[in-house]
Amino acid sequence: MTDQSITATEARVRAALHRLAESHRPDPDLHRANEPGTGRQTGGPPPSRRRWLLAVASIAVVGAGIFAVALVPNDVEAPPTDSADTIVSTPEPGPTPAPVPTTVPAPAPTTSAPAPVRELRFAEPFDEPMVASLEPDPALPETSALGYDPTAGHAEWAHGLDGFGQVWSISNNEWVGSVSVLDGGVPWEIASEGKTLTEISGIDAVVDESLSAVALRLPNGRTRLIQGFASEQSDITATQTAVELAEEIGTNSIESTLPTDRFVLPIGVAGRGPVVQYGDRAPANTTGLTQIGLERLERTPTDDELRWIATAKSEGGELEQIGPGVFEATMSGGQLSLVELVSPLDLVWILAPAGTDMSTLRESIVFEPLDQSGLSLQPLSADPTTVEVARGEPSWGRWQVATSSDGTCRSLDRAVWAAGAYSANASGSTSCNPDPISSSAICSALHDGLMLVVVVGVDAARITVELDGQPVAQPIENGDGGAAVLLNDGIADVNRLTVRIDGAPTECGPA
Amino acid sequence: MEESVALGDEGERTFDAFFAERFDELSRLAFLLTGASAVADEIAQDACEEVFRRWEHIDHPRAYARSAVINGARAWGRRRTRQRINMEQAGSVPALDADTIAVRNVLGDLPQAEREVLVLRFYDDLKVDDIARELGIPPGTVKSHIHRGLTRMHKELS
Repeated sequence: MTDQSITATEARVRAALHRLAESHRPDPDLHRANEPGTGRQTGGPPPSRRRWLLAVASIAVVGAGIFAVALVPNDVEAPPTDSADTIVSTPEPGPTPAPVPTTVPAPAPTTSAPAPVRELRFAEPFDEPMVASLEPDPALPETSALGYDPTAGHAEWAHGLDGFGQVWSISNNEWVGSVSVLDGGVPWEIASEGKTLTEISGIDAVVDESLSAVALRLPNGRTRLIQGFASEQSDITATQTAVELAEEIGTNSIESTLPTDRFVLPIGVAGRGPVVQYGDRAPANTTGLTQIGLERLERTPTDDELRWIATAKSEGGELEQIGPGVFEATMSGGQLSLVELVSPLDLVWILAPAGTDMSTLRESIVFEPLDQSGLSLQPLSADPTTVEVARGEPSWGRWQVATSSDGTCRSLDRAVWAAGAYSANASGSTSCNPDPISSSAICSALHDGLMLVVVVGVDAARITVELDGQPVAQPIENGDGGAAVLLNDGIADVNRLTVRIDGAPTECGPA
Repeated sequence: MEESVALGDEGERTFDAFFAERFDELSRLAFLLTGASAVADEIAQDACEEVFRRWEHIDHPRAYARSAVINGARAWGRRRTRQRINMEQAGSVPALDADTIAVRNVLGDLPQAEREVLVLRFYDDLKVDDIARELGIPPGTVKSHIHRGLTRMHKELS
């Protein structure tokens, strides 16, 4: 719209709104029967300002070194009690991500007191690794006991992710949604290609309603994606929540913009206990599962914090407090959730199919030391390739090769930028041999007919890649510890791919 | 209600005077926010009741009542399970011109937050900063709501 048309539209809207308002005729009797106290209680005090609480800061990033772990600071000064906007913490973008203990902070100066310890199942926190399970089993067979694999995060840089944070939106002292903040490696020019550009707080931005998200241009020329989720009780949409947070933090780190506070809920490596799962695990029937998990909190939550945790666990479901420190919720799909603070620092949660008698389920919770439970823990991901040997970031994306400590397994992780995509198209593969892998070349077919060729430990000048005997046109680009080329033209029609080092053909194996 | 209760800031010396002067305005605001004539009076009356209860402690009764109407409209909207507000269900509606019908239709389609911002901006003539303060959202969000809402209106009015 031009300025002129905006002004004209404003005038027409203003006039039409007044005509529309005039079309409503208030009941004249109310002027005579205006005795207070006769109306329903639909009114209320002026709305309080929205507050932001850090929910998760899962990936912090270090400036140098591989697999170094950076901790999200958790000792930032608490906000003043009258601060309407609060908290948050997000990692700075950087070259190397690493898995990090992650936590949920909440404001210290909340009005509610910590849940009374004497009414919890256990007066003291557990002093050894525990597992919560159900006895008798609600369903057979018990399919697995899951844990968190701390090695799973090593490939995040290679998957295009530089930093991640999650923020809770608190309005009128209620949890109304969450927003994730992902700092990615995708160059802004690629991510924003074909999009309608706007500005948020002077920063190049794209508001994407289809993703309930805002993309921002980071100072390093890459892309921050701020994506919202709003509960059904929220007065504003997920996109608006994302826009509000984008206005609040811009391209700054969350913790430098909003006052962070002590963390409460660990989500991730530290504190997250095993999850025991019952029922059919088939992907088409995931809501038929009953899952029970135990988490160790950083500190005793206040009543408000516990309620927010329960609301967040149920993704904004209709929440009901059924006992001291115990909340039950019905999620949008009918699935039921229960959150109970069982000790000052230990929290148990259950997700169960619709129709489950949660009271009975709650009474059947058994707490046992993990090593005496007889449960066999299976990690969510057991990638053995934790030793990075080469990585690179050419113009098309990122790649990284890692091996297991004994050299028998090797993985190739890669991220490919795509026009108009805010995050990378990422994938990875791992192969293992009985003997240590000796070949230096890896040929890996990607999506959309792409083929990635990586040669470890060799300079690009020494490498030739041929398709049916013809050298490829794409450049072979050096990385750190190896070189790579992404083949994207007519690879499907090729019969023979040859990788030569110093002119000699070499075996090109899988990752 | 005695005549000697605290003064308001906008010339309403008594609650009765405030009610007499502001009730229709509040009811119309509720109507624009809900699209439902039948509940607008009720929401406005509840807002006035809130004002009455706090009359001696409120410096800006009109602004307070407006906030209460906004909250009341939101609460009503939630009870309606967030379904699209149908402005045509607003009881017997006098004949409206094309512009008004278009604005009414767009208003009914808008998310609650955008509807609130547009109504406060173009019906109550509040400034952006005042709307931001009133709704507890950043001024930039108010501007983006106005921009999006006006763009929708512009298309509908074209």
